[in-house]
Amino acid sequence: MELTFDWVGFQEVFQPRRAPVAPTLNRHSPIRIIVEGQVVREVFCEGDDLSGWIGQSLEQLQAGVRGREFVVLDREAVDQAISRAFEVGHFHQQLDLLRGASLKQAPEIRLHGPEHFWVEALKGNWSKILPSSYALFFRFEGATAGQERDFIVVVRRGELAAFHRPDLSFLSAERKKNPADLVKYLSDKYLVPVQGFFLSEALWNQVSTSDRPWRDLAQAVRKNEVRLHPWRWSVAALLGVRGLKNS
Amino acid sequence: MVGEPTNLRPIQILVHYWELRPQALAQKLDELIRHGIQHLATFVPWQAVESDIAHTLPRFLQAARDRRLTVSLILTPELGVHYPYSGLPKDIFSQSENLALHEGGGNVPVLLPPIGFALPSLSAPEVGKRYHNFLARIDSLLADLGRNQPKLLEGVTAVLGGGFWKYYRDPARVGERAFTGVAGDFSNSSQLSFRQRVDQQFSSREFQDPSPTAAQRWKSRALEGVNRRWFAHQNEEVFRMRSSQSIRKKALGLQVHQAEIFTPEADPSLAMSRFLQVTGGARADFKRLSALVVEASSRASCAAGSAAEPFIHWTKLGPYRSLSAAERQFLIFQSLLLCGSRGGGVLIDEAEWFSLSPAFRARADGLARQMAQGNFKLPTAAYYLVPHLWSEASDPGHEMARRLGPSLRYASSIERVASDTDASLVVVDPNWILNRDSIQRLLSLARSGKVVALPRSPLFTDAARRELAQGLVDGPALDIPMGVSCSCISIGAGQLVLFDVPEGGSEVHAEKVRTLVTGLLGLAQIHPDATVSDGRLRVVSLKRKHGGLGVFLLNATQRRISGDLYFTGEVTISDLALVIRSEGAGMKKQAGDGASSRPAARFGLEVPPLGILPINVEGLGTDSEERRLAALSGQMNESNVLEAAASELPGFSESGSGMEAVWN
Repeated sequence: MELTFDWVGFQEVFQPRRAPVAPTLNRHSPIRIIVEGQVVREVFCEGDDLSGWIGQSLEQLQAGVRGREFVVLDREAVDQAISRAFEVGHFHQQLDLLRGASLKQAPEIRLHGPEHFWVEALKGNWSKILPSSYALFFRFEGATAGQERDFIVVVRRGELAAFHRPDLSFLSAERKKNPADLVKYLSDKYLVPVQGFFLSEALWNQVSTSDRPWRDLAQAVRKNEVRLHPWRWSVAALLGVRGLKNS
Repeated sequence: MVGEPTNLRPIQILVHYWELRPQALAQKLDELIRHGIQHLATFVPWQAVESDIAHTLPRFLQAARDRRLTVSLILTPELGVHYPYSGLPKDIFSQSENLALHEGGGNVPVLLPPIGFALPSLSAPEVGKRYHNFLARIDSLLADLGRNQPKLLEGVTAVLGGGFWKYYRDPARVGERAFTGVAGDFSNSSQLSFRQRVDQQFSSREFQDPSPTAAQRWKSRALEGVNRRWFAHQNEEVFRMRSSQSIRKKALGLQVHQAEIFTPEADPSLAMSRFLQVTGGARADFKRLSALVVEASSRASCAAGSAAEPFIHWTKLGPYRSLSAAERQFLIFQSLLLCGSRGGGVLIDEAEWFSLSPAFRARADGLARQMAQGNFKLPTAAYYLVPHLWSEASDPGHEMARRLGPSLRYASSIERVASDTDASLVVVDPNWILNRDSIQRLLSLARSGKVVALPRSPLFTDAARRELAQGLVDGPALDIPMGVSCSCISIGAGQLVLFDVPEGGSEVHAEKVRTLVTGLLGLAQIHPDATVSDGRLRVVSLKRKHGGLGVFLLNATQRRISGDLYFTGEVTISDLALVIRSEGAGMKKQAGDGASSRPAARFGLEVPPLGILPINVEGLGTDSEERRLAALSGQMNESNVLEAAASELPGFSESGSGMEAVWN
């Protein structure tokens, strides 16, 4: 069965595992707290064990942990944000709502790291430039032949409408290898224009974890390490411009 | 002997059959066989069954059978399934009356992909109806398969877990421990059912003694928390029993297995922390996940009196995924140690399992094999009887858990405790309602050689008090101060302790509880085999089948820890991995081969960050083991003698007075 939202596949492609933060490097991370009245209900800071403060007063915590930035959220508002998030379609939208609620409560909050550069672009300005509905098809080639991994993201009005490993079982082995045939088949199946990206798994991982992903991606397109099918000048130009901005 | 059955598969690989296309199914199964997998487990999402027009489940079972793979089908609703709403039908969530409410009155959130949702109430009539329809459908499907291809079901086991009951907790009531407050569903339908069941329960004659108005005391608001716990336990038992009955109506030959599947990532105690993580892009709280494994594995679930083995389920979806490889390996090994040695194990997604390093997999596989052969067992030294497994226990329970670590288990069934001959101490929580039947069972436990400690709580029925007084009529009571007033009475081969429930201010109260627990452990002669000087290290002592211990030192911190390991007597230690390897190769251990240490009672050791140090221990005294076996044998002799006397001597009665009458 083809899942509409294949979260495992999505995580593999767009959420590469990152290295843990060492406690000593974490001094500047804000301490995030959920309070009920003035009582600390939850406290979290990556790499620090602050669970001993749960149940204490916020004042005590702030006095006990000096020299750190605090982001304080209200429990009732958190509960409401979670309840509202459950009303929308899938986890990705739910996360957006939760992040939005955090920002509303604590505008000083810094949302760092969770979004992949590509997903951020799809949900951001690209929706103003690209058609209202389209799909991006990724083929990640492994070290040896036959180790390809495919993934498709369907975008409608700037929202991720579906993401999963496409079912290509109706295609012959020959057609599966032919980028033009693949893209045409997917375009007919999903009834949206499809842009294919063919690149190696290693390159994708490198770009995904890079500090300047757009620049690296644009360079890879120029070197033909990332192949676009069909070749669309508009898409290549978009990547180039993002690459320039990012360098 | 350890009272729990041996689990043949402590590591179970999960496959999501509904995601496999027909062409990919055969390929995937062949690949798993090449990796040495012989058994698969899979969840069966309701939604997938209700809309299974492609017959993916029968195809999967057929393909597995063709390859001689055995399959566990997990039929109860569980969390962390890679299916929208964990496989539950979406329309259930559209009506608020179908959703569970926790003690604080809010929904119980599950923040796991593919969709976060509020837990449905298993007490809601609509949910119950749909669930039993699903089970009936599965039952028919499996019965049809069995009729058409009798061999197909030979390798299939239906696994029934405990459902969502353990997750019905208030996310904001997180403290030092994961399971705090009163767990249970507080939705309208559940409230209604609660009132009805309370009326029904306390309308029995025992609770109306001495007059019908006496029942009002049991229904009073003051006992609401006690009754809630009892009701939550009853709900869970009824759910398990009905599930079990529904699944074997038609598929008579189907094997059914009871388990307790716990998904730490979905636990509501992590919901708030998860909110902070996902909004801040931070990694998961490893320490909390590790603590949840310890807490969940210490709960001895049961279904109709028999054990439901504990399984920890690690998904690829939630916070677990964001942990480092070392942290993930630590959690899997910890789960395997604590659950595998108790007849359960680990459920893990196949892709996640194969993403772990081959060296780690070989180590975990080796340990799992030893567990499957019954070579490693985690004996339970003491049980703490609580009215509900997933609600907070009273302070004596927490203190016992702190002192005994994994050697203590919480149980909510006396039968479950009686089936374990290892435990020498049973302490009853002050929130337990003591009726005549439970007193009879507890007295019988004491007679079998255990120390049974009962609180002098107001929760005795009059019949229970009479039963207790009658049971203790012959034994002299010895008053021993253990922080609180205690009476100790010898009964059969064991002892019964009646203790006052510790009260007072926090410091005084804590001291009383500590003294009480010290006294009880001393009375039951429970001394941990191995202890460590550093509280950050956790010790898991597993009994080896042919003598000796396998001691595992767990360091869940990111720092190297040096500490001392103490034993109750002089022992020799060696590398457990080497010992197992040499035993596996059929090599006999030679004296002075250099692999073992010199005999000592204290050893200085260093455990690396997130490390688990396996140590083979030999030479530890077997005094307590021998004492227990002697008590058991004495009890059997006594009953045989009395039985023989009753048949040979006219007028002889088994009671003490009868015996005196015959001889005087």
